Amino acid sequence: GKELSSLSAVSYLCERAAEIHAERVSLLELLAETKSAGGEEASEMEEEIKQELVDLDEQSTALSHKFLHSLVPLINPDDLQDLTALDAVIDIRAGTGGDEACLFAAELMASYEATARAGGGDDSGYGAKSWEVEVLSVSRTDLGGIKEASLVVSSSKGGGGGYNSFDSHQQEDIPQNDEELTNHLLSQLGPYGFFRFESGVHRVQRVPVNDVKMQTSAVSVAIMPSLPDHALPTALPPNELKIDTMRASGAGGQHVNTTESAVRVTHIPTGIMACIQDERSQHKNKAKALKLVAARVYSHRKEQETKDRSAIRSSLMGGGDRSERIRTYNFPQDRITDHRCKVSVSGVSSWLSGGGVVRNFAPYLYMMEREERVEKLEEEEIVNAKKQSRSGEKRKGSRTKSSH
Amino acid sequence: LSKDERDAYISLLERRMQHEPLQYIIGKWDFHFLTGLKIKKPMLCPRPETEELVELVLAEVGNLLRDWKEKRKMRILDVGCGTGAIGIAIANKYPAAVQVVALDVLPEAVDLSNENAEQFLSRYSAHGDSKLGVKSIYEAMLCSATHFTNNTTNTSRDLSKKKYKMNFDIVVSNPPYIPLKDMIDLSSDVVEYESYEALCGGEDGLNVIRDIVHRLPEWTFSSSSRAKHCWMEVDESHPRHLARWLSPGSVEARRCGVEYVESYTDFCGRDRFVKLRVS
Repeated sequence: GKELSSLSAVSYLCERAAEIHAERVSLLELLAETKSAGGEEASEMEEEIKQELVDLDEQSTALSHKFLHSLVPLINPDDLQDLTALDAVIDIRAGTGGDEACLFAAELMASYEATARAGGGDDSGYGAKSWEVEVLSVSRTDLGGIKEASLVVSSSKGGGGGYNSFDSHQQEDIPQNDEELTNHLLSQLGPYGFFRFESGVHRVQRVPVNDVKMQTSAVSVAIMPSLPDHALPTALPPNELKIDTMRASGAGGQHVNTTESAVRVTHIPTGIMACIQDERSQHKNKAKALKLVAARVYSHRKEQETKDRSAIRSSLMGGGDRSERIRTYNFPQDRITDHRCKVSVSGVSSWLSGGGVVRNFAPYLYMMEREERVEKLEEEEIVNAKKQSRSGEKRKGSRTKSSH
Repeated sequence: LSKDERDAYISLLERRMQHEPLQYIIGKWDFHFLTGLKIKKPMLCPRPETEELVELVLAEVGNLLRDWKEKRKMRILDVGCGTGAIGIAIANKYPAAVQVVALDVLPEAVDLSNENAEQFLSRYSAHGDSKLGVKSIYEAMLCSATHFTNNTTNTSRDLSKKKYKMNFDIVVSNPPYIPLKDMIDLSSDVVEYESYEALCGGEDGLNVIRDIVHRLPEWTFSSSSRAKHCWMEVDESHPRHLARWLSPGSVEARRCGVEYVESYTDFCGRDRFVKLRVS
């Protein structure tokens, strides 16, 4: 059903393209005739025809965009499941800049928490989903900053907009403008899909509280998909894990009453680990540690796969380079700039406290990532064409239009 | 801090300096997914190991539920309930499917268990069984293992002469299991505050465990051929004793009607949990 509706949308576009082409041909013929006829009436006619041709060109351009959208959707079909359904683990770590970096890390964390609690919706609540935030661990400084923190943003139904809305949208009209496109995109994304482009180094430039000189500090953020609980035993087989707990060296059990509940889970093959001690129940600490390790291991494996597969290390498709500087928050100039899509917004404080940063930049980055995919498709086309012309085969079928 | 707050804080610190367990001072602690379980002297403060016992039983409950054909709820007996931690943690996961009966010899433990049950489980009993309330999910009563028979009635004024069906599907216990000789090595925060009866299991630590084993066939009597298991947290020295005593096919195992199945280690690698089967 889904495939049929998406194919019918494309075939409709192909028909339109054919119609436009046919009309263009007949108009050009008419133009040629009119030119050869000559005379005043003819030159008026010529103007009219030329105008119609211009209109036709505009329609053709608009059609190209629609082709682009239906053939190469904003969300990579290979990643659709992950991006709409998976929860997100967010690791925040203060980098260079000492106390300043820790303070900014705390602000970023607050911003993400606010966004998550608002369900990824905008100021008026439009597009809000029911998401929950849970702090897995946090290490605070005396000044109110954080050295590092881990959060998990989960969707109560285990998904974002989910498959359903995607299905129904395929049968409706294709989004007509950028705003509709953006809203449609955001409505489909689950917590992981929504936050994923926050991965990287966030730079902040401002004058610290007790200082006069401007300072640049950095905070690194990593967004990882959080596996649902039932998937944990398969993703993290117990024999690959080492679980350490703080426990008395005596006989244990009823012999000893201790309130130490810290748990450290280590994934032996990769060495990735997490230590959680926030909860009083050791069982809860273990559950949190497992979730964190599972997310980090999954993310680490995906990175390895991508590195092995493609040479494009810092492409958005490849998941980006974690140490890449992705965004600068410049307080004196009151501007936030994303270095990937080259988009800037003003009003740093309000963007941060309002928590709308993620929602604002995500669509641009998805569009950028789609550009990469289109380029890759075009490259593949060229390579295929060369191969086939070399083997002397004639190409059948209509060529799809590519973007300008 | 205001003066009152400071005085209160200092008196709490003084209690801690006397090695009073933190859980008693604060009055509550977290166990498994129960946040804020009330804890009072002299009931045993739930240990982290016991959370693993809960997980073992929950796994069995999950398995049994997959093929559950009975019209009644699954019935679980928690012997020596203390704060109620174990039984309540289990009921908290499957409130619609299980009914827990809990026993203790200390009136304070029975009261505390019922109080905790009210706190955590009353939200599930809002609909249906309204006359019984939480008791349809969890009920603690004053009784020892030996005296719990099909003639036992609950003498509290809430339930009149009600008898208990001896058709339990699972029996779980964290009985007092410390051998007498080890009692002297216990640190002061344990031995001076927590109840002796909740800790010491006699000479070899197996007294209450033996009582339980002798009652198991009667407690789990039913026409169903489904295997009935008993899960217990025990002292490190016990699994091998029990394996020998109740070795499948042995004279003793046949006489008691109970067989040793296997043991499990806790997160410190110590033999901590045993699984027995009523044969």
